Amino acid sequence: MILNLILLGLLIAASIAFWRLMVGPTVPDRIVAAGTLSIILTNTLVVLSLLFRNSVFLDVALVFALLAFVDILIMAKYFEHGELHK
Amino acid sequence: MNGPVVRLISFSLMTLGVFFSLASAIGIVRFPDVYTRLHAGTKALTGGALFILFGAALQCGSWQAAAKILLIAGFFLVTNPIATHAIARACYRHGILPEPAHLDHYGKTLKRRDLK
Amino acid sequence: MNPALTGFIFLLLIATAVSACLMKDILSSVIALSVFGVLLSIVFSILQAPDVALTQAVINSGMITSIFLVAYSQTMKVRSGEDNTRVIKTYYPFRTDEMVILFICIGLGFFLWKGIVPMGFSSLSGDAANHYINFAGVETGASNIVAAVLFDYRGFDTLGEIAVIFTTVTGISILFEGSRYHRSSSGLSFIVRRSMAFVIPLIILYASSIVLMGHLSPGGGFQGGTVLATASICFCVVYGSSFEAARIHPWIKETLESTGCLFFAGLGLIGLCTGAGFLANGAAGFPLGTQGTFISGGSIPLLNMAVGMKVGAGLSSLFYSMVKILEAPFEGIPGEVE
Repeated sequence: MILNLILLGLLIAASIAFWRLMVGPTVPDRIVAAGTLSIILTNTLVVLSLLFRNSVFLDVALVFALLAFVDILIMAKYFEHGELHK
Repeated sequence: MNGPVVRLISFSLMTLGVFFSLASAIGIVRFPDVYTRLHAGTKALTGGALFILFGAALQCGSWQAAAKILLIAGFFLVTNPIATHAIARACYRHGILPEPAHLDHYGKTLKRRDLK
Repeated sequence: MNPALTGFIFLLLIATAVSACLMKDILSSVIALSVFGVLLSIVFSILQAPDVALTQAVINSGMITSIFLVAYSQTMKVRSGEDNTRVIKTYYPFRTDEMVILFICIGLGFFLWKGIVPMGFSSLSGDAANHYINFAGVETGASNIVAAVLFDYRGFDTLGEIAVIFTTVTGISILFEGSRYHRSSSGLSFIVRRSMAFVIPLIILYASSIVLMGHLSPGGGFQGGTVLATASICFCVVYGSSFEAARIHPWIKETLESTGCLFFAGLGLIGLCTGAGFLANGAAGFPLGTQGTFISGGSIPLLNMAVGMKVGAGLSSLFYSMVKILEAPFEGIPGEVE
C-alpha cells in the first residue's frame, strides 16, 4: 500500500520533469530533463523490484545506472560540437 | 531484517526520497536559467536516489539484493557529477552564459589561452 | 500492480513517443527517444519479462543514441532559408506521399489487430510453451529458460541472427571504407577523463558477468556483447578515436568477430560429428551438470561466449568505422595525419 503511494509520487515527479523535456526552449534544458528523468525512473525500477519481491529487476536497474550517463556524455558532446568527431 | 521498526525506518527514508525527487522536478520547471536548472536536477540524485536506495536496501529479502542496491547507489554517486560537469562545460563552450554574470574567471582563462 | 499506475506509465510512454516524433531538431528527438527506452523497459518489467527489459535497457542506453547521432552527422545537410526550414515546399495541407504512408500504417495496424484478437488475452498456452517450461531444466541443464530456448531448442535461429549482424557490420564497413577525417578527435575534458578511469573497468567487468552467467540470470551473449561495445564507444567519445585505435587495434576487433562466428559454427559441427543433429546440446555429449550451478547447461555458456565476442567486436567496429581517421603506415600509437 505504502509502496504504491511511493510509486505514485515518483511517477508524478517524472511527469513534471517530462514537461520540461517537451517544452524546453533550448536543447540543454532537454538534456538536463533527460538526466533527471533517467535517475527518477531507475529509482522506480528499484521500487518495482521491491513490490514484486523479485531481485532480477535489480540487474536492469544496475545496467541503467551504468549506461544512462554514457548517453548524457554523448549528447553533451554532440551539442557542443555539432558532430561526434570533433 | 523485517521487523516493524526496520520497516518504519525504511518507509520514512523512502518517503523523504520521494519528497526530494518532487522538489527537484518542480525546481527544473520553475528555475529561470539552464545552469540553475542543472543545479536543481542533481538534487534528484543526492536527495532522492540515495534515500530511496538506502530505504530499499534495508527492506529487501537477501543480502545479495542489498549489495546490488548499494552498488547502484555507489555508481550513481560516481557517475552523476561527471555528467553534470560535461553538460555545464558544453553549455558554456556553446555560448550560453549565466544570466546575471558578475565574475567570469573561466572566460578570462579561455581568452588568455587563445591569445597566447 | 495497481492498474491505475500501469495506465499512468502507459500515458507517459505515449506522450514521450509522440513528442519524439514531433520535435523539430534531431538532437531533441534522440533525447526523447532515450527517455522512451527507459519507460519501455519499465513496461517490460511490469509485464514480468526481465530478459526483454534487460535487452531493451542495454540497446537503448548504449546503442541508439550514439549510432543515431554518429550516422546523422555523416549526412549532408541542405538548408533553405536561414532558420533551417523544410526543403520541400507544400502548397496544400496534405501531401500525397504523407497520405500513402498513413494509409499503409493504418492497413498494417488493422491486419495486426485481426491477427492478435483470435489468440485471446489469456496467458501463454500451447504444447510447446508447456514443454519448455516443464522440461527445460532437465533437458538442457540451464536455469534461464530464455537462454535454453535461444541456444538449444532454437539454436539455428540464433545462427541466423548472428549472420544478420555480421552482414550489417560488413556492409557499413564497406560503405565507410574511406574516411574524411584527418585528425583524431579530441575527447572531453580532464575531469571526465580521470573519472572515467574508475568507471570503465567496472562496466567491462559487469559486461563479462552478463555474458558468462547467461544460463543462470537474465542476460546472455547479445546483451553482454552490446555493453562491451558501449564501453568501447565510451572510449572513443571520452578519450578520442586515436586512443581507442591504439588500445584496441581494429585488426583485433576483426579477428574477435570472425572467431566468435567460427566458434559458434564449430560447436554446432561437434553435434553433427557425434551423430546427433547440428547444434545439439545434451545429445551430442556436452556435460549438462546440475541445474543452478555455474558449470551447467552443456554448450550454452560456450555459445554465450561466442555470441558475446562476436556482437561486442562487431558493434564496436561498426561505430569505429564511422569515426576513423585515414590510416597511414605507422609504428605504435597513431598520430595526427595532416
